[in-house]
Amino acid sequence: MKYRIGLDLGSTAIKVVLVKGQAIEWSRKVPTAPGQEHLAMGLVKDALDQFGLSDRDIDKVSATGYGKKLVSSAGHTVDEISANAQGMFALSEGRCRTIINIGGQDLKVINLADNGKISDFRMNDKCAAGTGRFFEQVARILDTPLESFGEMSLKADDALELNSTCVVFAESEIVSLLAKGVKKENIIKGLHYSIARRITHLLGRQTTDGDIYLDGGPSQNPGLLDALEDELLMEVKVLPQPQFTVAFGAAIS
Amino acid sequence: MKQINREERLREKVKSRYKEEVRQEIKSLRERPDYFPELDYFLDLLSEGPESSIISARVGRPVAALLCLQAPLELFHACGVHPFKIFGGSQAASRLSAPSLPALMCPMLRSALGMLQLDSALDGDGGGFAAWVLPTTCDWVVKFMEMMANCGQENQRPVHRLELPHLKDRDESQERWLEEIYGLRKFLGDLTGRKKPDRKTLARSMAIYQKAWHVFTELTDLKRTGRLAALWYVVISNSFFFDDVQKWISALESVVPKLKGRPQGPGREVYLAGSPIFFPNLKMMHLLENAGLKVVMDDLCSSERLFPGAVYFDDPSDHGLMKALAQRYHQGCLCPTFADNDRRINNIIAPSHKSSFKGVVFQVLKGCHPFDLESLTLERRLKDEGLKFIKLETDYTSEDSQNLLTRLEAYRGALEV
Amino acid sequence: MTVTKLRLTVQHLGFLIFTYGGYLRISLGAYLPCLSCPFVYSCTGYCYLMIFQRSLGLLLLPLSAALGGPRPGDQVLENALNLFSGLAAFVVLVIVLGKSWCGWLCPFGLLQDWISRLRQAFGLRESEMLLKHKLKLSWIKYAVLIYLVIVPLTVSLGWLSTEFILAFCNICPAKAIMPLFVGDTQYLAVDVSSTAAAVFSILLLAITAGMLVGMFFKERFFCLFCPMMALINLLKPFYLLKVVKEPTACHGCGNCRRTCSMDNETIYRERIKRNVYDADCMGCFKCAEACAADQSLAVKFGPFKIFSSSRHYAARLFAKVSHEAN
Repeated sequence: MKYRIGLDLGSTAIKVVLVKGQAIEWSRKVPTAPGQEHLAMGLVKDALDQFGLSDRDIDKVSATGYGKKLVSSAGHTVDEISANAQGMFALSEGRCRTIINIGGQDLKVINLADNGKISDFRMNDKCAAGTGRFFEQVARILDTPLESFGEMSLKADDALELNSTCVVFAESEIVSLLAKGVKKENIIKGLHYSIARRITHLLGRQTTDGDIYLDGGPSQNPGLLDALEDELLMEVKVLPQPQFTVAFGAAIS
Repeated sequence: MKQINREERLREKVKSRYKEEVRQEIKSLRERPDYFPELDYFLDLLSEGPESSIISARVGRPVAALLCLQAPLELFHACGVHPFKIFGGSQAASRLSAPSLPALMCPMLRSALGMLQLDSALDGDGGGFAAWVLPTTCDWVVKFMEMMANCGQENQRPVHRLELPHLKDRDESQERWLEEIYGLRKFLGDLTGRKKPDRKTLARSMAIYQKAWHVFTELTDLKRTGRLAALWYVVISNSFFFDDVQKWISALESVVPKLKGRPQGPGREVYLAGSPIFFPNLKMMHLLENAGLKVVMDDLCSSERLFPGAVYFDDPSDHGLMKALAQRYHQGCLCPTFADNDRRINNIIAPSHKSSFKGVVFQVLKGCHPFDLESLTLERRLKDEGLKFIKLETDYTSEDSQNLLTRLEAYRGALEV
Repeated sequence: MTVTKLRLTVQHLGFLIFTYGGYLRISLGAYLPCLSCPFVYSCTGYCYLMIFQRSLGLLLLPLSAALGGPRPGDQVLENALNLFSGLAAFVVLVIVLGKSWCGWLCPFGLLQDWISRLRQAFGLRESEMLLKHKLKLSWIKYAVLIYLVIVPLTVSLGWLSTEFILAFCNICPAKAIMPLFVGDTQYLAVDVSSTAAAVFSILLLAITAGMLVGMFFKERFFCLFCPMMALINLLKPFYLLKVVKEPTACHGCGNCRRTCSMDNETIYRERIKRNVYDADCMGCFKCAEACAADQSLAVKFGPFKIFSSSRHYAARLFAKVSHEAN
């Protein structure tokens, strides 16, 4: 059986998956930087080397994400919303009906029909509030690695009300909270709640039947997941490799 | 002295950037495979721009600046005045006016105010618009003259406001609006110093605009069947106020036969609703095309709703004609500033049963509250009808193009299910 | 061919046939649901109201005989039966064409349209009747119908002289005006043969004069009073030919209302129901023609759509109008 490659050239990271059948055989990501095609193809080469494959073993290379048009060797491109839908539906074994995706610079809510097709979707306008970019910014202000956000927020003893999800205005708010001596843990928990509220708002009036899945980079953060479940009043599921759903979706599209 | 110098320099800079915007857009239009030389007339009108002195020289009649489409164009024509609908589609021009305006403002009128600042003939008495006519539609239009003054453009010309009744269905509203239309006729008469047009003159003017609508309907059908790209349709309708109506009609009559028998263009059919689209900001039209979507119908006041349509009258007396005009321009208007605008939805749902489109793209210019409000109602009702709906909120900058394109592409995918 | 042109042609043909067909020995019976006046001696078919009144005038004779009045002869009974056989013919004619008898065939209706044309030629505006006033007046034609029924019935009881049988015809302006088209002026003179005849003829002249003035300033003014319209209205649920609305296609432009000679509003205001065939409609279908919303108004004959409003049709119609205006 031949292999397929899915490339997701996002605004913060480039994700590559090697797919055989409906399974992810190999995945890796690198931060987005100039020369995206070179970076992506570098990862592809790593994958081929590791599995001892040649170009002939590859059935198809599909690209998605903002940079999808930059990869000349991709035989197929697909928009990231459709890729996300297909990838998530397949990986959740057809259980997913709503996807919440937190990308580098956007938030998406995608509703799936019973056959896995997109029935509706919403996406933020040109504003990075609540997106991956916002997390990075807060991590910088708090001088705390992003990876420890989840753990820290679980240690919080107070849910702080953060007013701003704006990348620009949150900075001054967080700086003044720090100056008042508020614990970082509480600030992070407040941050998770403010993002959860923004996602809930994006979901709007839509009530969902079926399972809700969160994917994208920040979805491995248990603090965010807690906050989201609390705000949505529903269970939210996360797959083992949530940041590769979109690349996988591109590969199987 | 330094201050003036700076303003003057900013104006020059904006002017050259505006010209560049126009040049690029016109160039991209001319390079399209579906361009043909008969379209030059419309492209030339747009590229020469909305300078008041150019317009008045071209039409050879006093020009009244007009905002919104509820004032009957036929009446202007019969009174010997050329109506010119003010609009703005230039992002560059917004730079001139933005510092003097609210931040969350309608991008269209912000740009329009900037364009007026670029218009040198408006300063003195050397040309420019002979008068201003404003039906009180949205808040931005109501406050337009005030904003214009805040932008440093003191208007010396007479201003006539028509108080638009925001309830269409009431008889009292109809009577009041008819009074407003009589008032407009008197205003236009005072402006030109001519006596009021007799009923035959008015009927003739009405016939001319009916003719324009008739030819425009043929063009609309060509667009609806995919023989004319919606982008060109916008270009042609945008150019309407730039020339004498009869010259525009003849130019259009030479375009229509060229399109008949053309193959249908590619793309998934959609209905475009929401805020108007004006040259040179055709961003949304380009994005729709790039996403593989083909606009077959729309309800924009800048395109399909340019003309109110058939102005039927049974009573050819002077009063009967005035009444027909007043009612048609008022009752038939689907502008979201009306309170009882529930029939707007019919313009989408009824055709959806017959036409090939299965989805509606609703674009809202940030700051255009009436359309924003109505989008929620439309979304609910259109989804009940089984139509796909996507709302895109945007302005004249291009920074959100990628975001919009992603959404439109996914939307196209959802339509194909 | 536009609907209006077709209608004008039909109206004029109808007028010629109804008024002069008698010369060609054409006979269309006595049960026509339009004011084809029997007092026009060359008339082809009779307005049903005449035989209706005559039959009513005999209807209760058996009853009056039982009460001690004169015994009616066989011929009289036969005439009374005419009421029913005539009614059947009338009902069939009404069911087929509905109110379009008024808008498409009634010769007196066409006469009113001519008078409106005359006003238009002078450039005078039509007087506007506010809906509330109009609604106040809409009972009049039913009152006239009741008068038309009651008086002949009273005659049949023997309580009034037989001069009163044609209670309505005697005051109908069609009786005064229509015979003029065959050069007959006798009904313009005061009939002094009896007191009743004199009163009726003076009343006729006064009503005719009033109606002419009304008709000059208001389209189809007489139709507001016409008992024939009231009678036809009673069969409204059974019309085959009618106008229907698809309210979900209407943009509310108001063309239909503005063009309506009868100032009907239902057709414009209705937002839910398909049935918009107003009681005062005259079935001319100008509204469907003026409507520029695709499929919003349609003319149906039974289950078949025979005309649908459309942008195309309206645009072509107006292009023609503009061509004529220039």
